[in-house]
Amino acid sequence: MKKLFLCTCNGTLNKLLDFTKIGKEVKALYDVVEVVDNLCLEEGLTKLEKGLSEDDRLAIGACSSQIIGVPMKQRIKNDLVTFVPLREQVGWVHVEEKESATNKAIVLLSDASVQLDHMESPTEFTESVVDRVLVMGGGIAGLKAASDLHRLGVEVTLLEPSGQNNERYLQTSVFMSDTDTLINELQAIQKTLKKVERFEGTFGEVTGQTGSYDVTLNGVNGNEKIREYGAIIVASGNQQYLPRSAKKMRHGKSERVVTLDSLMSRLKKKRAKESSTILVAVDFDAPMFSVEGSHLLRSTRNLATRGYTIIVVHSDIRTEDENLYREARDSGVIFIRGKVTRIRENEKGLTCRIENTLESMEREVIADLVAIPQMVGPVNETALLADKLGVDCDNNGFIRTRYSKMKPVQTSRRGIFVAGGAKMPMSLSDAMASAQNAVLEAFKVVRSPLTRSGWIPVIDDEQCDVCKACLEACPNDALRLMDDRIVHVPAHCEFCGICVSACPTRAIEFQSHRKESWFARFEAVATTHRRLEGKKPFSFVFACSECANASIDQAGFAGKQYGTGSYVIQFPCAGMVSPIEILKGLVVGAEHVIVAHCPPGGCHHQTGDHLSELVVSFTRDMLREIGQDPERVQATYMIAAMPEKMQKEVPVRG
Amino acid sequence: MGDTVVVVGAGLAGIQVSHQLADLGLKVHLVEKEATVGGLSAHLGKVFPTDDCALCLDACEELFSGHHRRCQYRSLLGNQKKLNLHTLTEIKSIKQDGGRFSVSLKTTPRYVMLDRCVVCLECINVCDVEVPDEMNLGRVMRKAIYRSIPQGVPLAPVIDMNSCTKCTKCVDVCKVGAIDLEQRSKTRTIKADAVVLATGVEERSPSILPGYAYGLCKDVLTQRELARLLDSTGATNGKVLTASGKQVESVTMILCAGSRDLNAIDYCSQACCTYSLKHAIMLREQGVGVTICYMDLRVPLHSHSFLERARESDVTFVRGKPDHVIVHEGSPVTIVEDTEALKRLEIESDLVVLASPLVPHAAEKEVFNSFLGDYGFAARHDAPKGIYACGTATGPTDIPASVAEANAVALEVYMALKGGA
Amino acid sequence: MNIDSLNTSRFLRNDFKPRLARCELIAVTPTSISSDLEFRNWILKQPEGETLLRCYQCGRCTSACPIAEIDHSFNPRLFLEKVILADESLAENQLIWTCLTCEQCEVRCPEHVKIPQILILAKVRGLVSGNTPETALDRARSILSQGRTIQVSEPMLKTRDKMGLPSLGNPPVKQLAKALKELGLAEKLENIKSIYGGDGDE
Repeated sequence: MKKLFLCTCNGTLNKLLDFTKIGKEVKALYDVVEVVDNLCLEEGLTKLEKGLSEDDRLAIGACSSQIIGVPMKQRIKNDLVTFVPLREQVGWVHVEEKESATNKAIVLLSDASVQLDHMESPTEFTESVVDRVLVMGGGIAGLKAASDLHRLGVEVTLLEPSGQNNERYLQTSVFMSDTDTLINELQAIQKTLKKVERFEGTFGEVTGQTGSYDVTLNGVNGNEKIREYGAIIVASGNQQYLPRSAKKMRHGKSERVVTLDSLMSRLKKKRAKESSTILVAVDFDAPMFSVEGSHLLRSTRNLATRGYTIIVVHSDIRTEDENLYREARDSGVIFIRGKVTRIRENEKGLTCRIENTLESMEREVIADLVAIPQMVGPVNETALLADKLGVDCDNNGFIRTRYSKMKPVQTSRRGIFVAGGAKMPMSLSDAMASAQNAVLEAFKVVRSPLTRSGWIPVIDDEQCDVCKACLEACPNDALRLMDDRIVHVPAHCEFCGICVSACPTRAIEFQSHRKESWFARFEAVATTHRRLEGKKPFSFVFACSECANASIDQAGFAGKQYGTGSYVIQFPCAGMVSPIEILKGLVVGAEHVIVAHCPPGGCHHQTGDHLSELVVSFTRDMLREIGQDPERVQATYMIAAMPEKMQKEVPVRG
Repeated sequence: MGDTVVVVGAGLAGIQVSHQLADLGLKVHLVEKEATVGGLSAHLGKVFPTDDCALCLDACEELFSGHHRRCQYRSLLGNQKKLNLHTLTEIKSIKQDGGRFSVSLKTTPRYVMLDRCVVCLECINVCDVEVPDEMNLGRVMRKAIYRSIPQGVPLAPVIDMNSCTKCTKCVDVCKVGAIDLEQRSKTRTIKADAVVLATGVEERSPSILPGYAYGLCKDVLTQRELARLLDSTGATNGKVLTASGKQVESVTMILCAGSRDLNAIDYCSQACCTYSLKHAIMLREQGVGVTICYMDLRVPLHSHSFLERARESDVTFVRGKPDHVIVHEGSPVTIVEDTEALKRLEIESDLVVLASPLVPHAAEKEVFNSFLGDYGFAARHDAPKGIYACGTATGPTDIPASVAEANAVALEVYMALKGGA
Repeated sequence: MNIDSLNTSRFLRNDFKPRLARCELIAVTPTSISSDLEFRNWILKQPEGETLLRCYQCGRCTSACPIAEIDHSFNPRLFLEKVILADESLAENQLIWTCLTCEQCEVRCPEHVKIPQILILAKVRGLVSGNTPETALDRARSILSQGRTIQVSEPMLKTRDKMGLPSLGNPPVKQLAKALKELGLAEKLENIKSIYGGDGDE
C-alpha cells in the first residue's frame, strides 16, 4: 500500500499551508493519507509505526529528510520511503503565499507518489575483506604506519626500496625536526618493527578493490610474489630538490656553492676557525613550506652559534615556530629580505650582489661559501607509483587527497591511503599524525566485512557498446571492464549516478532513478502544476542531495523567501543529470531548469560539480543551435553557508 | 580497560575525534559549553582551503552510504548511539583516580527540552523581547529565545535568561511542552578512561592592544567580526557595511595585530594570513578595495591559491607593521611604513580589520591549567597525566591540520584503551 | 650518498607565479658589506646593543616615530637595517641626530629592540670621528657655560611658576666646568668644529 503521512509540526505548518486542500487533492494518489501533529516525537512515531506494515510504500510530508529521517530510521524498517520537505522547502520559504504554497505542496506530493511507484529496494552487499595491509614505505611515516598497524594486531608488509637504513631515513627526513628528536623517534619505532614483515623492492601490478587488492611484489633479488591486501598505505616519503635559481647561484660551477644540508654535514660539529662568511640564498621565486622554513632557521642558527657569519637572503619567512626565527636572529644570523642577483667568483671568495628590498638598494658581500636551501618534494618515483596504483597526483607530483579539508589521507581510490611526505612535506609531528590517520582508515577497512546498501547502476549489456565512457567518468573506479563487459564494483560505488549521464547510449540506468521514472515525475509535476496554477510559469531545480539540498534546506531555516513555482527535484549527485533530463524538463513546460551542484572542486563524489557544468553548457549549445533561449538552462553551485543562493538563482517569475 | 572517553569541546576537532572514537566502538561524551556545536568554525561561514562551508563535517561510519562528509545539521550528532552530546555544559573538575578519570560536568539550562522540541520556531516568533545579537556584532536584534546560527546543532532554540521576562508566551505556544522556564542546572560525574581536550582557540580581544583604535572606532573590527559581516546568513546578508550602515568601499587589514609581538602574543597564529586572504578575495568580489599590511605571508602550500588569487584580484600588499590607527572624521586611518618603498603611509579606509592572534580557550579555566603547557596550549598526548589533546587546543592551526590531529588522537586513544601491545 | 646528486629539475613547484621584487633601486653601484661587520659587532658589544639582533624589520618604529611623521627621510627602521648590515655611513649621517629620544619606537617595538639606545651608540661612533652637528656641539658648550643643554629664559620660568612647577634651582656650573676641564673635554669642545659645518639641522 502507498501511504502518506503529513506532519503539522506542532500545529504551525497547517497555518502556512492549507492541509484540508492538500488532503483532498492527494487523496486519490495514496491509499492512506494521515495527518499527524508531531511526527518526530514519540507520539508521532508511535502513530507512524502502528499505521504501517513492512512492505508499505511511504511518503512523508514534514520537515527535511535530514531531520525527520533520523528518528524514523530507528523505528521503521521500510525501504521504500520518500520525503517531501514541506517545512523547509515550502512552508517556511513562501510565508506570504499560502495558496500558492499549498499548491506547490500538492505538486510535490504528486511527484512523490509517482516516485514511490518507480522506487526499487536498495541493493545490499556484504564482501569479505583481507585483514592485511601493505605499507609502501621509504620514510619515517611508513615506519610509523607499519608499527601502529602491527600493534593493532593487523598483519603488515612494509615494502621499501632497497638499502633503507637509519642513516638514509635521517638523511631524507632531515628537514622534519632537529636531529636528536629524529634519531630518538626512529630508534623507538624501529624497535617495534622487529616482527613486521619487511620486503625490499618494488611492486608490479595492482588489481582488485578495497578490502582485497592483489599486489605483485618484486624483490631486489628477483623474487616475485603476489599477495592480497585489504588496504594499501602509500608513504613513499620525500626527496630534496635544488631550486630553479641554483644554477644562477653557480651551483655545480663553483665548489664554494653547495646545498645547505651538505654544508651542514660537511661542517658537522666543527667551530668556525675565523669568521668565515656563509651566504644562504633562498630561491626568491619559490614560496617555501613552513617545514622548509623551520629547517632553514634551525640550520642557520646552528651555524651561527658555532661562530660562522651567516647572511640569509630570503623572501617571506615561513615557520610553524616563531621562536625558531627569534632564536636564529638571537644567535646572530643576518636576514636580508631580497634576492641574490649575481655571484662572481675570484680568489677572495664569492662576490654576491644582493637586491635588498628593505633598503631599496643593492649590496655586495664577499662570502666564503654560498649555501642553497633545497626544496622538499615527493620522491622521484611517486608519479610512477601513483600511476600503478591508479591514484591522482597534484601539479607538484604529490599524491592528491580526495578532499583537502577533511580527508587527510584518502586518495582518489578507495582503500588506498597516503601518509606523510608523499602528500606534502611535513614536520615530524605532522608526519606521525598523518601516518596514524592512514592507519586509522586502513584499520577501519580491514577490521570488518564491507557492507553496503544503496541504489546501484544497472548495465544493460544489449544496449552497451563498450565505449568505456562510463569507466572514465566514474570517479571511484566502481566500473570496470571484464571479459568485454562493463561490470559494477559495489565496494567502490558511491551511488552517485555519474556513470548514467556519461553513457551515450543510456545503457546504464540507476535503480529507482531510471529515465522513465524521471519522465513520469516531471510530467506529474507539470500536469498538477497546470491544473492548480494554470498558466503561471514554473521551473525545475535539479539539486544534488549534498550541498545543494543542504543549501535549500538552510534557505528555509534562514527564512529566505523565493518564488513558489520552483520545484526542487533531488538527484543523488548533480553529475547524474544528463541533457535528457534537462530537455525533458523543458519539454513538459518548465520555463527554466537549474542544475544545482556542490561548490567548484567540492563535489562529494569528486567530479559532479564539473560534469554538471559541462552537461549544462552542452545543453545550452544545443538549445542555441535549435533557436531556443539557452538562458533557460543554468548551472550553479549551492552551499549551506550561502542559503541565499536559492533566492538569488531561481528566476523570480518561476 | 574500559571504553568511555570524554571529549571537551565540540568544535571541528572535537566532533571529528568523537566521530572516529564512536566508529571504533568506544563510548563518547562530547561536552560543549555553548548551546550549539561548531566552535570557532560556526562564526566563519566559508572556509579555506576548499572555499566551502565551515560547518562541513567528515561523515561518520554510521552515516556512510556513499557519503564522505555531511553538513553539520545533517550529521546525526545528537542521535548517535555511541556518542552523547552535552551542550551548555562545562567541566567543573577532572580528577585522576588510578588509570581512570572522574569528570564532573555542570549543565546550565537551555530551558528547551531537546527530546521534545520539534523546531517549529513558533516560540521565537511570539517572543517580544529583543536584544542586540552578539553573533552579528550587536548590529541587529535577536529574541530572548533564539538560535544563534541557522545551521547550529542541536537545532532547538535556547533561552537567554538574562533578557527573558518570563512572560510565558513561548510556553503557551509550545503545544508539545518543550519549554520549561524553571529548568535547573544539573551536575553529573562521568567515569572516563580517557579525556581528550579539544577546547580550541578564540580571537584575542584587541581592546587590550594599544594603538589600533579597537573599541574607540566602531569601524575597526577583527577578522572574525568581518567574517560575520561577510557571512550571507549574517545580519547584513553578506554585505559589508560600516557601523553607520554605509557600504564599505575600502578595507585595510592589519596582520599580526598583536601576534609575533613580545608585548602581546609572541607566537604566530598560523591561520590568520590565510583567512585574511580569503576575506580579501571575498571583499574584492564585492568590488571593495583591500590593502593588506603584513610582515611575512605565512600561507600553507595547500592554501597558496588564495595568495595567488588575492594578487590577481588587485589586493594591495604593504610590507610593514602598522603602529597605530587614528580616527579622522569618523574613519580609521592606518599609519604604516611600506618597508619596501621606504615610505610612511597614512591609509584612509572605511574599515580596518585586525588579524588578532588566536589564544587557547582552555587557558581561561582553572580546571585545565594543570594539563596545559606553554602559552596555555596542551600537548597532543601528555603521557604522565593521561590526557590527550587535539585541534587548536595544541596550538593554532587550520582546519585540515586540526582534522588530521583529531584522527591521530582518536587512534592513540583507541590503542591505549583497546589494544595495541 | 651526497644529497646534491639528487638534483633534478622535474620538481619545480609549478603552481606558483614568481613574485617580482618591488625594489626601486636608489643607487646604481652596489654598496659593499664589510666582511668583518665591525660596526655591527661593536654595537652588539655595547650595553643593550645586543637587542639589535632581535629586529625583524617590521617598520613599526618608523610608523610610530613623531620625527618620521614630519621628516620622511628619518626612518629608524632603515637605520637599524644599516646597523645590522654594519654600514657605518649611518654614523656619519647627520640625520640620526634628529632623534628626540622620545622612546615611542622602543615602547612599540614588538621585539624589544632598544632603538634609541642603538641610535645613541651610532652617534657615539660618529662623535669619535667628529661627525657631530654644530647644534649638538652648541648644546655641549651650553653645559659648560650654564650647566644645561637648553637655555632657560625668563618667560619659561614665569610659565613654570604659573603651572605650579617646582623651582629649577641653579645647576652646579662651576663644578661641571671644573670636571669637564679636568677631563680635557672643555678644551676639546672649544676647538672642535662640526664636519657638517653651519647650524646643523635645527
